[in-house]
Amino acid sequence: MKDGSEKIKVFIVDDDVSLVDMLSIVLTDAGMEVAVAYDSKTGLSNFETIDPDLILLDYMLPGMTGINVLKKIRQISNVPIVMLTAISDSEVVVEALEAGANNYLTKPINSAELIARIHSVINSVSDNQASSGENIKSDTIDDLAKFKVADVVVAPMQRVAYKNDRKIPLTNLEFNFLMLLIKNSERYFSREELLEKVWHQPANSDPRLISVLVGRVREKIEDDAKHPRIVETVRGVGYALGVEVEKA
Amino acid sequence: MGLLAILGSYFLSNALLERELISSELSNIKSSSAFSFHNIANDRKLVSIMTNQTDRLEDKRDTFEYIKELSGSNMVAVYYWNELSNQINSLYEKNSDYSLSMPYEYINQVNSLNDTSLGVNPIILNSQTNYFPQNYVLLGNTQNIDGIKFGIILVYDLHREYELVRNTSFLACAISIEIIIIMIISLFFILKRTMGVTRELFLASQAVTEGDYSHKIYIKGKDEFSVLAKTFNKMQDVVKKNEQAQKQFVSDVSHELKAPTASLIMASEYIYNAKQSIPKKFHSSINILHTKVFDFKRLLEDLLEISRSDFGVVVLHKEPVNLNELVSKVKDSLKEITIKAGTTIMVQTSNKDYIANVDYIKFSRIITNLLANAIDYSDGKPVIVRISEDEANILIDVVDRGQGIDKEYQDKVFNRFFRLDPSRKRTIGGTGLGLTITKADVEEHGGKLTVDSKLGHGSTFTVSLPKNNIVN
Repeated sequence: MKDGSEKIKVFIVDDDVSLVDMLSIVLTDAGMEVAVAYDSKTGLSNFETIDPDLILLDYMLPGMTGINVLKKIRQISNVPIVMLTAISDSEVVVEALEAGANNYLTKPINSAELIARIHSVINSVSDNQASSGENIKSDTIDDLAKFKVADVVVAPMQRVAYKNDRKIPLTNLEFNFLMLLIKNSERYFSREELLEKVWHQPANSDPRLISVLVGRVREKIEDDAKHPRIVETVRGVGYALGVEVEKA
Repeated sequence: MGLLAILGSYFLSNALLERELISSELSNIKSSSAFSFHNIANDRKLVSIMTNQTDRLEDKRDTFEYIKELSGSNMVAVYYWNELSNQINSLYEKNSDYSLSMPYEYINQVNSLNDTSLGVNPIILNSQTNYFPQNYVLLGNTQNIDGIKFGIILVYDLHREYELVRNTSFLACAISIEIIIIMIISLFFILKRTMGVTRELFLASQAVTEGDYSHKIYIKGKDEFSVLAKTFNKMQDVVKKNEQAQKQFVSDVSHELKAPTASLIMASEYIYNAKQSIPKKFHSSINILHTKVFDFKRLLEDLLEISRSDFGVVVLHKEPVNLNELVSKVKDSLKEITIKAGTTIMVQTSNKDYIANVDYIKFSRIITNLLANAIDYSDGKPVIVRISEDEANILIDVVDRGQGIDKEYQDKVFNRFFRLDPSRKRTIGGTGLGLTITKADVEEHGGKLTVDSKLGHGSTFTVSLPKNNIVN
């Protein structure tokens, strides 16, 4: 969507011919432009010439898995990518989201929801691009500042975190999640909210995505992941920062 | 039993031996005494001794020895008298204690013997009466010697024979005791082994009925039991393999069906949404297509869920959850179908908040399924959710006052595709897998799902969650 007047161009990479046919019909009806590829190789080679606004990517593809296609595309482009697969294991979902997928949808899906997700992904990406090109943008806090939570130092500009002067290898999603809590240290986030804000997933998505991610973040930053102090569970409602934020 | 066998063997052998041994001995005695009586009567020297009533010891001894020779070695004493003197003389072994006085009963018996039988048929005097010690057999006869009638009684000693009988009986008795002891010991070992094997088999087959095929039986040796154990183990493997194959098949089919279902749903939705531009006569077909594709999708989702729990690949993401809040959230989410069914949900809790480590999604699904089920069967009467506790568990009861479930079906309601009332209109689920999945969800949390119902009074489904899940 280079500007408002143009049609959204969706590139479908999926080997299920009849599904691709249906997707094409439904998306065209919804006013989108559709290009298709039935295997990963064609998908990758045609990607740049097609230059889509969004890619709808299957996981089980002949030649190469969707995750690997996703990673290759991410090396050269930030184009919004929505995974649409029959696999619903939370591990795979997290893997895809961490590899840079903007959304993860499972088959079968109804057309209305698919169209809504496509719009929402494109909108949130263009919102982000409009603000500054960063995935997470602060509204109230100085971007140049560094923060200290317990013994973890976080530098938003460099997108890195340190614990006892040792760099903590946080993924994009993990970092975004941590920054969201830091920037809103006075409140908690419900699962539904986190799904939308960190994952850009619909609020009714599998909340296990959160449990998986929270678990990983805790393993990395807490002294004792079984008794977390920094990322606290608010019983029955969600998560919040458990310590004060200091400037560092 | 053993005692009976021992006594039995004693008396049986005793009786048998007595009959055989003693009676054969008696007939021996009879014939040898007959011979003896005959000879006594024809021996001059003897007769003279007997008639002269000599007192000379040597003569007496010689006479005795002579008679003994004639009569057999177990002849131990001779009594004789003649009808003139009627004095009873006796001859016996020196230094022996056979000098018993002869009862007159027997003497009279001999005296009364008919003349015609003289010297021919000696009679046993004490076959009926016991005036004389029991082990002795007395044979009496009369002999006419030189015109004088003599009465003679030969005393035979059957001590040894009786002893033999007794000893043999004791031996039989001892043998039977020995046999019984050996039998008991070997029976003990056989039973021990049999019971051991039976117990093993019992435990293993019980495990099999609960779907655990890892309970192998190990029996050493080369007997039937070890063969049985091997066969049983093999059977377990076969059953396990078949069950695995069946589960795998369901899983494969479900996964394979996912892809076409995705296209089906989209296509049917597309047509359904475009209904207005399609001639009316197609509408009912379109509706059927749309509804059934949706049902199919739901069934498929449930099948996949069951497959996951069949394969034990379900991972719980436990976190502290306020169960009171979870229940009211689920209640709110079911508002629409509650109203549609013309009923209400009442939540009953104590003031205590129950916070437990559970998988939020799975637990919401448990409560949702149970509530939706209760609503479907409520017949418009209020549905009650109660959170309470007993000693070991947090209890969540979901109570409806609908038609209830017949006793014989109560266990079956958790079975796959079991439908109590297929004609009943269902709101959520309706795939026949809802309660199966719910039960699996509860069990994955280490809990139990049970049902208690009375026909005509409604049903109570109870989730019991062990208290070790409670967060303090």
